[in-house]
Amino acid sequence: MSAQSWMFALAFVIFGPVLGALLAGVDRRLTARMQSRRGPPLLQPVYDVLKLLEKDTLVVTDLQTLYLWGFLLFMVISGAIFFHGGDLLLSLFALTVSGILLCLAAYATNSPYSNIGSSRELLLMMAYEPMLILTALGFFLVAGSFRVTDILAGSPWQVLQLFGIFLGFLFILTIKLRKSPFDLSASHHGHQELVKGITTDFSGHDLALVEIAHWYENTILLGWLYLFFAPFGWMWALPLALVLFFAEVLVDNTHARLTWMTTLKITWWVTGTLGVTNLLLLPLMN
Amino acid sequence: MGKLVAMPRRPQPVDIPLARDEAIALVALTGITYVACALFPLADWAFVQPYTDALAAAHLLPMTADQVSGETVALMTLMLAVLFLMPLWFWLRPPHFAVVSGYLSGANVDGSASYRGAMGATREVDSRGYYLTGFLQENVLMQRGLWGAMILLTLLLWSAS
Repeated sequence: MSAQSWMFALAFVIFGPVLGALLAGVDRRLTARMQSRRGPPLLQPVYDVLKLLEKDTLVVTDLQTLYLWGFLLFMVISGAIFFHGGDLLLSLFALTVSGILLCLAAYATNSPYSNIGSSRELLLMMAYEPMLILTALGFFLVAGSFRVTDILAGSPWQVLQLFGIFLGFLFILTIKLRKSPFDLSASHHGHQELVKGITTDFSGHDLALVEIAHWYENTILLGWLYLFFAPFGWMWALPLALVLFFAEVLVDNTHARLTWMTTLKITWWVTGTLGVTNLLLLPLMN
Repeated sequence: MGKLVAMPRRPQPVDIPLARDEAIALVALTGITYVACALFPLADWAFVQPYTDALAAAHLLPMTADQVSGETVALMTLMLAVLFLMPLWFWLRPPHFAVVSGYLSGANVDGSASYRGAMGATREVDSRGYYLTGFLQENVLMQRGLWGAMILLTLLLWSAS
């Protein structure tokens, strides 16, 4: 691989969280405007994390910090592989390992609300992982390769060829971004039935790790969305990806939370109807 | 959240030495896992590759010259290194954070095992959450899994002969 691709990977490691934090900041501003509020400053997520790093860290077990570092490191590895132009499946594998390590961190606390959160997070992973794998498979069938560099240089028609998979990906993006109606595993509001869910027993330094990993995740998910439009060139692809990314804020603010059973059923139904059907029809379109 | 299984909290046996039967099971499991991982390339060379080559020769698998790229092997090695070295790093340089009991929505009484809730009553914590019973019934899964495994093994042995 060229030195340029390694530079992209390095750029992701350094600037990925910056972009992710800005996305989170815009998300909060948009949410506030939809609720007729002024909203926090754009850099509020950064201020929050800096404050968390200054606070005392309380842990239920030291093991949770180990798992959270794993969560962050595997998130970075996943994004570095993606932005390096590497294998999409390998990037997806690292992303999944990262998610599992977050669940293990919450399970390690052996605390009821964290356990409920991590159980639900694992259920959500069961719901969205098949669609993520189908997305990678769809790109492979259209571009003839799992490599991000080959997909970027693919046909401009790939978004139409993969339209069902694209819609399915948008659906599970809501779950990946932990937005309503699928925000089952964590809550931004401590008064709900699962308190803060998976992050209930994380504080200070540990909670900062979770937030930084989520910034990286935001950038990775925006990258996945960008892939669908990438052959149009970045002038078209980036605005389209950003508009769709922030459309999730509208979904978040207009839907109430679903139960885990409904979430699982709907997501598998969407995966089967949109994803699998698209894959079956793909040979007819090529 | 489901109410089929209750998991009452018990104090973790941190000061009690590991029971002999548990130790045997855990050490054996760890050892066998390590050996299986270490012997995987040998198993691949001795069993998997000859089998897939035979299937390809019988035109049951497409003949390809695909190889895992060096970059993928390097990245997998990096990920494994992170998994192995991270616990080592924590063991050598453990974080010094204050250890507290878990959050229980009330005043904790006995660590994370019980809390003082409404009207000052002390309540033992237990969480119930057994998901997926509507999707996967264990007895049905067991029966179908056994039959499926038997059919697949028979097919495998028949095709190998």
